[in-house]
Amino acid sequence: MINQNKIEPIIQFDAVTMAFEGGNTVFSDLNLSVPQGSFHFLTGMSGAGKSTFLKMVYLHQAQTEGSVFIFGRNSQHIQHAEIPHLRRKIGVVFQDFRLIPHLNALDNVALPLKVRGVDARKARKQAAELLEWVGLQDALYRLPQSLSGGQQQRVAIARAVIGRPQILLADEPTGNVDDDIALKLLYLFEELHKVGTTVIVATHNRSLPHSFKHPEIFLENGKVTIINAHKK
Amino acid sequence: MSLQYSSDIPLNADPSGRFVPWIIALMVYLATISLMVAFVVSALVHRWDTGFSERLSIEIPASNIFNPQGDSEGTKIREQIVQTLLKTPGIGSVRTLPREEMLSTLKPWLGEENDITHLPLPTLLEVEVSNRAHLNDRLLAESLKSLLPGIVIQDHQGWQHGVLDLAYSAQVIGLLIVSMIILAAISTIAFTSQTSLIIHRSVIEILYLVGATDAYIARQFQNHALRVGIKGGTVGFCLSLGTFILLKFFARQLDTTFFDEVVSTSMLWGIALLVPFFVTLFMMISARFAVKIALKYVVP
Repeated sequence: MINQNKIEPIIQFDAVTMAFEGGNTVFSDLNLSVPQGSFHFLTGMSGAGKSTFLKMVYLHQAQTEGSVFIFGRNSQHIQHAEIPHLRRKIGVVFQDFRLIPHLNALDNVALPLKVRGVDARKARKQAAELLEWVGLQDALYRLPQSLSGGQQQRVAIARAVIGRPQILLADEPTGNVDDDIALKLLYLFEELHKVGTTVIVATHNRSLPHSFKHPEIFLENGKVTIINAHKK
Repeated sequence: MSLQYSSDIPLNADPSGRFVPWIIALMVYLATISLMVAFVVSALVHRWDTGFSERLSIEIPASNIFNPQGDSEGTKIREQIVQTLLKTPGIGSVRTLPREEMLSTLKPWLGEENDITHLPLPTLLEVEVSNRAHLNDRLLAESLKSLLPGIVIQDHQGWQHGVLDLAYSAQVIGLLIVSMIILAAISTIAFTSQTSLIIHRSVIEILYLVGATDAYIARQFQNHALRVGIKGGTVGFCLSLGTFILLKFFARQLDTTFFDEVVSTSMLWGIALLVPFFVTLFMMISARFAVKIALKYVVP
């Protein structure tokens, strides 16, 4: 269990069990606290439950047993109408990017601001700045299907961070890019972490955490192990 | 029918919604025509109603009061009847139809060569009703019959009620048709919105994940319904306007002023504009609520 008593946990799992229909148990009695402003790598083999863990954090999946607290709120007690407002504080980079096919890169990135009611022109201006930040200044008006996997990944990252989220979740963000870009993306996350964002990066690549001074949440056989908990 | 616009959900590209603007156009057209017919019937009935409810006809049979040579008894009874009428509340004026006027009316029927001056004719009194509410029909009939038992009072109200009932039935049927058309438009939009929701489930999931509320998603469908309503409503408006321009043209060809007398242009414009407006408004409300309800089941 990660224990940083001085800092309030922003994510907390109390005796969480997650089992799917058919008896496949992903987690069993999982206890975990993620302090606000921390950076963690979430590792484990394919099927270890990394994506399920992230889905529970962004309130897309409910646990079978136990309690999940997000921003100090018990997820079981969060009303349906409150979920969008909490999700606006969470940026997610999906493994399959989840870009809207008929919107260009600019509009995809501007989406989180648009749903909050930000003026479309202002949202697009910020989206353009972020796309430039991720090196896609020449692809603003291109549709997702005309972009490479790595470019789509960067659009997804820009969309995840445009709303200045308190929590950033990235599911295999380096899976589709070469090493140089992977490293660059991780430094982007590092920059966000430095301004106070809690970052969790899920990866099956266990060599990645070794390059950074951040602890690792390792999922295996439904149990969690914290590696290098002393790292900050 | 194509009108490009930017939306997070590509509703304009739905195959299920491609014909909806045309269906709405037809519905707007039918609703406008039905409503216009109902209003024309109403205006016509009102005109009849006003004309006939302001007049009474009193007939003093010839056998009672035949007076070609000046029967003083007959004249006395007629004067009593006129005085009774004038004293009756609600009666404005009484006019005795001159014998010459009646004879000239009959001449074309009986022939110029026949001497009809000695023909026994009833005396007709034209009575103007000034205030129908103050007039007690039953009391008036009793008073007149006490003076002359064979007197005939024609109030026109008997057959008038039948015509009025028929006309009001036509109006009610017209409004029912309009209600059913609006209901059909609402159902069409509700159904296509829910179908679109299923088609675009993946996009809606993404919108949810980036923090969109149910209201935001429903607003996308509502705005789409507005655009469909504007497109369909405009076509329906043009069709109904065209129909009435044609009717007016044919009416003028027939040299009838019926349209100009019965139907005011502002009323027609009002109906032609209000029907698409309300159809669009109901469509927007329908889309919003249908989506809000369906979101609970389609994307839990």
